[in-house]
Amino acid sequence: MDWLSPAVGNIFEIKNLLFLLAGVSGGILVGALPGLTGTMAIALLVPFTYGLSPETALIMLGGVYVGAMYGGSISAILINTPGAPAAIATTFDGYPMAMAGRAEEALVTSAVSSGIGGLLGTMALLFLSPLLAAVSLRFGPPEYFWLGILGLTIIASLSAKSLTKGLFGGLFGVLISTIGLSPSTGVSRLTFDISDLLGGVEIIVALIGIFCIPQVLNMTDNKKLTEGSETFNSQPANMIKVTLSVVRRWGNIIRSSVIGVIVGIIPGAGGNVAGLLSYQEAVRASKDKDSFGKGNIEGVIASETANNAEVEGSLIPLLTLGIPGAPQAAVLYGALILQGLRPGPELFSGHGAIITYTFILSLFLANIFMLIMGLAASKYYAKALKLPTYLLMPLVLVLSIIGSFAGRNSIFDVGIMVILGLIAYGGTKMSLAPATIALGVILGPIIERGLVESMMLSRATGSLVQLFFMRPLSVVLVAIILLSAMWPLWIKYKEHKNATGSSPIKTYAPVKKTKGALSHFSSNVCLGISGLAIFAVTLLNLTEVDLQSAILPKVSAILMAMISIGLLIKAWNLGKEKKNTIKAADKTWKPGTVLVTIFITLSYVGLISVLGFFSTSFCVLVALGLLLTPKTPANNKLPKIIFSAVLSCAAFYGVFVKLFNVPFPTGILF
Amino acid sequence: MYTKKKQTMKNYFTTGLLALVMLVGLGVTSAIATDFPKKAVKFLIPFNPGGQSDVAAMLLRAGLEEALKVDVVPQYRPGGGGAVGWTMLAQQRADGYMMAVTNLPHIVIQPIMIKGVKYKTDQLAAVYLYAQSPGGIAVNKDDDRFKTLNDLIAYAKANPKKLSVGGTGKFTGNHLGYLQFTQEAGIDASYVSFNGAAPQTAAILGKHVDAIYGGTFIFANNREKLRVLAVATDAPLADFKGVPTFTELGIDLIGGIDRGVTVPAGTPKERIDVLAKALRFATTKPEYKEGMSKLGFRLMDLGPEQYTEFIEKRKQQYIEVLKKGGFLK
Repeated sequence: MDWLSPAVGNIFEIKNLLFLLAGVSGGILVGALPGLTGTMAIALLVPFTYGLSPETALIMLGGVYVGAMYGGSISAILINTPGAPAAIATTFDGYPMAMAGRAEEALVTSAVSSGIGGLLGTMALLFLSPLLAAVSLRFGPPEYFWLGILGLTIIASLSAKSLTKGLFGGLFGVLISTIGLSPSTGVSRLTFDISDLLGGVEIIVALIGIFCIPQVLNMTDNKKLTEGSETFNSQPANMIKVTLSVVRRWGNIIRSSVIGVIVGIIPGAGGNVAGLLSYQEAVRASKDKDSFGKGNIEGVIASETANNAEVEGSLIPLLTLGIPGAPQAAVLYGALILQGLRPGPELFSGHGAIITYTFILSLFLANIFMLIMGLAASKYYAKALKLPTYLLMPLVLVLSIIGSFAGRNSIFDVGIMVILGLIAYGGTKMSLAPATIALGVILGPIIERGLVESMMLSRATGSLVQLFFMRPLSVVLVAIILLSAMWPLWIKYKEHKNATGSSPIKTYAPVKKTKGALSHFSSNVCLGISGLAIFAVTLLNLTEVDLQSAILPKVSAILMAMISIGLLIKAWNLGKEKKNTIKAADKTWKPGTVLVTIFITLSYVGLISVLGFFSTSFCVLVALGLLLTPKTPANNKLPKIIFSAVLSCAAFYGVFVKLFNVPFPTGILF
Repeated sequence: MYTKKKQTMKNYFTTGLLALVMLVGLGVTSAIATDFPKKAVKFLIPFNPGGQSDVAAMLLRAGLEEALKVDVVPQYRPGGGGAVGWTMLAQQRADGYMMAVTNLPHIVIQPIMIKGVKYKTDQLAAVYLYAQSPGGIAVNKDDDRFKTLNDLIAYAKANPKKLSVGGTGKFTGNHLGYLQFTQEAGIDASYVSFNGAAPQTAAILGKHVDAIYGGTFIFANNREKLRVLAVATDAPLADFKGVPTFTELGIDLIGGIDRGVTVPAGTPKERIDVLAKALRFATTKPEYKEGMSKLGFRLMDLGPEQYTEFIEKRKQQYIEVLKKGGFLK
């Protein structure tokens, strides 16, 4: 414990406190902007930390990591788009809360849960590191495979209304994740001879498309929104009350922190998996399962507690073994080495211990800073929703374009984002939850790696079955998966038993009141046919690919074909039941504005390289602004729209070009 | 448009002037140094920020800016193990205003082995080779079966296929090193490809594989838990006392990842020389040297011609290994 007093002394040095503050607040900003992730921010900051002392450098970078993890929840709640992949599960209930005017409550909840999760995670890092590091080494290829499959069982919770469509979405996501070079075999798959596709579809690009684009299109399609003065009203929340309501759910908090830390210590599974798994567990533990996805505060608590506990969890194998538990930790690894710090015993003895414990203890402070900043600022973040739709929605679109570009500086990625977004939007019209696609995209790589690595390993061990079913940890995971998969079926069975006697028509009614939703019959036909088409295209493109490189896409495509046939059979039966069950498509829906918005979006993507990013963005902001201006005779909104467009473009220029060096195409104009 | 035209005019003019200068036989390099570069030079990094290639590039950056007297702007274009970025480089104008971090064996192997890779090795012109990350083989220290490389080879000979060796990816530096090792030793082992150094290290520490073929940098950072059996260098490494080289043990294997900088083929030689000179200057900076040695890189110093020859030599070595392994006809 010789390290205690010097470490505490280090933390409370004014310089270090200032760097910590800068790190946390910068992290929150980066996290909140879709496309800019904590990983990127830490990596870009590392060169600037060469000149700093190791303590100061680590304190600041740790602050960024913590801040960005929380920041992702802000955009998840406000615009239904995870600012970073880890916030994906926060969108499930955070955004519905915002829609119901509870944005501020959701934001405060997120700040409090993130803070508590982070503090508990830091405790684990401080006291349980050696033990947990040993646990992390128990995870080999087969365990990764099962972990990914376990994640997929969440589909059942995300698509309670139609499990088949949920699986369809999940498999589609998995297929997307297999595009490009196989990480294990280096063989290219499903690239259609497009060089840019060799790099695959970046998770963040897919997430922005899947969540943001349907969001933007739905906003344009909402009469109430386009006529009202503000997008959503947002009621003030009582900070103390909300905090207490979070703390009262201590069971959820502890469970989610444990999940977060455990996922954190496993290299290769990051905050997104942590958030998803703990969300799943929160649903299972709840007595009121139907309220999830509709604005249940438990969902936000579970996701945010877990992803912030994951931060510290991922540092455990990094500091003790030199194995980073998450991408952010991998970048921190570089920073450690450049500071002359070698992870392992050296970090926990002598002078190394002082630096290490300064870093660990500073994480307590980072989480407290984050908590305070989150609480203080929630009120202001929530104000973003007070912007009228004709200003907010075009901004969200431009941000999604920036976000998908900034990761790899690639216009091609922007195109992929928009295409996936339109597919996801189409999915919402057929009661296919976009989140299921996102799930597949996130978990596909984990499943594939686990599967292919196990196959390679089985050449030496002699038996694949032994690897998958006879290792102790594998058995535990398989048991959990069976439990997870059976649970919703059991619930359904019970519901079905209670509901016998009620009219069968009820179950066939179009799910939810999605505008312009296709009838059950036509959405089944549409999905079934597209599924078979995807199956055919996938298999045709895998003919010359070896087994290990093709196994996951092939299996997914075959499963997809089976589901598609099931959907078509169902449609056939529905058709036979005649007109009383086939409800015609929503005829009241007038897709005019949506189609114009899609047209503007596509032209936007096409023109960025030609005219330049900023001039195109400006035009889009103005054009969409005018399109969405209430038609009721009122004062002219044009000056306001132009003013806001100029202001936004200037802000984007400052942040992305000047601060982050994002090389936007300048084109003919600018 | 107008200014661009003016610039080209000016270019013609200066080129003419330069020719004249060369004819007269005066100090050519200094004249060119003032002519190029005139604007920021883009430094393409075909990997994610924070990776080994990026960290090394960032260490070079300050010295480069000092030597070139313009901004050197990092541009990230990750994907496909670098293939996406190098394809982009191959398509750039050959004016020296974009150079890229370039790794061997990647740029030799990808165009041969990966379907859909759109660039060719000779579309990239060598500028400067600045570092190497040597490879080697290591086992878990708790594993008493393998005290020496000969133990490992003997085990593998007695138990075909049974020896599992973890690497990172296929047709990568580690995979090629592994292939050459097994070919030279005459053993049939099982290669398990992990997605990066972190899961690879975790796999050996967790004893999911028998051995790993990886970068010596990983070994150095886990020296308490790993036993390094051999390194693929021409001479023993100072950082690994008592660890033999493969060559010393009678196995012809020297290799790893060779890190350099390239520009699009067709870039004027004078400009390549300016960049090479700036890179050489950057590698003399103490901060660079210190950072690189902490990262486990071996410093190298090969100019454009030597680097070009080096690529050719390596290419033959790789192709031979791939042919022996049955991956190429």
